[in-house]
Amino acid sequence: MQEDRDNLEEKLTEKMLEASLLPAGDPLRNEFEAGISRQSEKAESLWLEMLQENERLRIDLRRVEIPESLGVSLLGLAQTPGYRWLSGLAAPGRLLKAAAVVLLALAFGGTLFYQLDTSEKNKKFKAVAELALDGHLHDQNVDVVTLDPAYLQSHLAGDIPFEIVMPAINSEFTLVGGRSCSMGAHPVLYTRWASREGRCSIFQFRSSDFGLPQQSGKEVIPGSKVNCPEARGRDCNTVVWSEAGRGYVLVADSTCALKSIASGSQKP
Amino acid sequence: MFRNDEKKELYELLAHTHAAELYRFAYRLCGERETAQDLVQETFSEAWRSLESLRERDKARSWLFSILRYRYAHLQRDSGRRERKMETLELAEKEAGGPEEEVLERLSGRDYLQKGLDHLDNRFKEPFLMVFLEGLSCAETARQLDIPLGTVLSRIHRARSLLRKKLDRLDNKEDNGYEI
Repeated sequence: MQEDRDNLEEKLTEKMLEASLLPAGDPLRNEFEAGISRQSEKAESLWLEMLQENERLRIDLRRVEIPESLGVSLLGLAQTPGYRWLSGLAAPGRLLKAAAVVLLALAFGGTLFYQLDTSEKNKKFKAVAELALDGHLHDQNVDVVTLDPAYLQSHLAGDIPFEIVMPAINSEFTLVGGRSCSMGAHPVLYTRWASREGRCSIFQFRSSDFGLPQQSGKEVIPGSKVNCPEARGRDCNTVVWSEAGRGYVLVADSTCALKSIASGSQKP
Repeated sequence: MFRNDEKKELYELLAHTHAAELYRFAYRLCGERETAQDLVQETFSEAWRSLESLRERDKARSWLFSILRYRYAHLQRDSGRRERKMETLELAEKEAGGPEEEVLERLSGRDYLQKGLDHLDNRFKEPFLMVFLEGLSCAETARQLDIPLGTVLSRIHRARSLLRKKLDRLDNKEDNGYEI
């Protein structure tokens, strides 16, 4: 009995829904409405609720913000020359997206390339800094003792297979002397410098031997960032750079000396 | 055959008259503004290409809506979006966000109705929107979708029920004094 009543109610609700979805004034809807008013109050109230809900849904569904550019872009479709070709491919919105994707890919690729390139360069700088730091900590002996860079140059020219070019350093530092040595398998000129604030070593070599660029700005690499256990607890820092195919690593005992030397611009 | 200026004139008239409602329909169907705009543009580019095939101008609106629905069906097939949608209304209800999230969304002005629609399977959403937004009769909807009238009615009924439940739940929760 209850099941029959439920079925009847469901059928009525479905019929109500069908009628409620007809436009106002539709003869079928008018007819149904007249029939409802002759039925129970409950049916009439349900009918009114349904109409209200439909109206509310219709209003809510229409609440969509229309993009300002829509009209312009649509009118543009009929004006763009060669549009047939374009529209055959895809909508302009998609083309713009595709263009954006290509640009992004290029930018991403460029950034990735730059990052890889930078990271590769940093690795090489670190490697050479590590070798120089090791040399500075273990062997500060010099074969030629002189305060004159030109004298040192002339004496060691035969031992060093490249032209010696002294870098610009702070004038407070004076040359102590130098020797020819090697880092890894590559020839290097070692020079020792001193000032009231501290001492430092400069290693000079062919930048290509260590894969460094022909020309690059000064890169400060703190001792703590270099894999050299003996540098721990010491205020050792390195500066790596290259000029005209020549590579240099400056290793200083104190930060103060490092700054002073790294910012120096006078030729010794 | 149209003269070029006649074709352009008709096209512009259609764009002025129907672009907004087509966009509304597209947005409610796919739930994404950018995709909706793409769909409308594709619809009008198709319309521009085949304007000659429109024999009765008073059927232009229905013709445009059909193109849009067709483009949307294509888009769904291409992107496999259909698989990602909820297969059943029951599942959709289970998956609905927590009460705090819903109230927050409502208060922050997000389109809660759209969220309900997004959970609807296309089988239910399409006839519902055709009737409620496109303004077609149930009989016309059944004819266009090539399904029986009874099926259209039951699908609309289910779509309405789910949306009503969702909206009622939000109303009740706000009345119950959720504190944000």
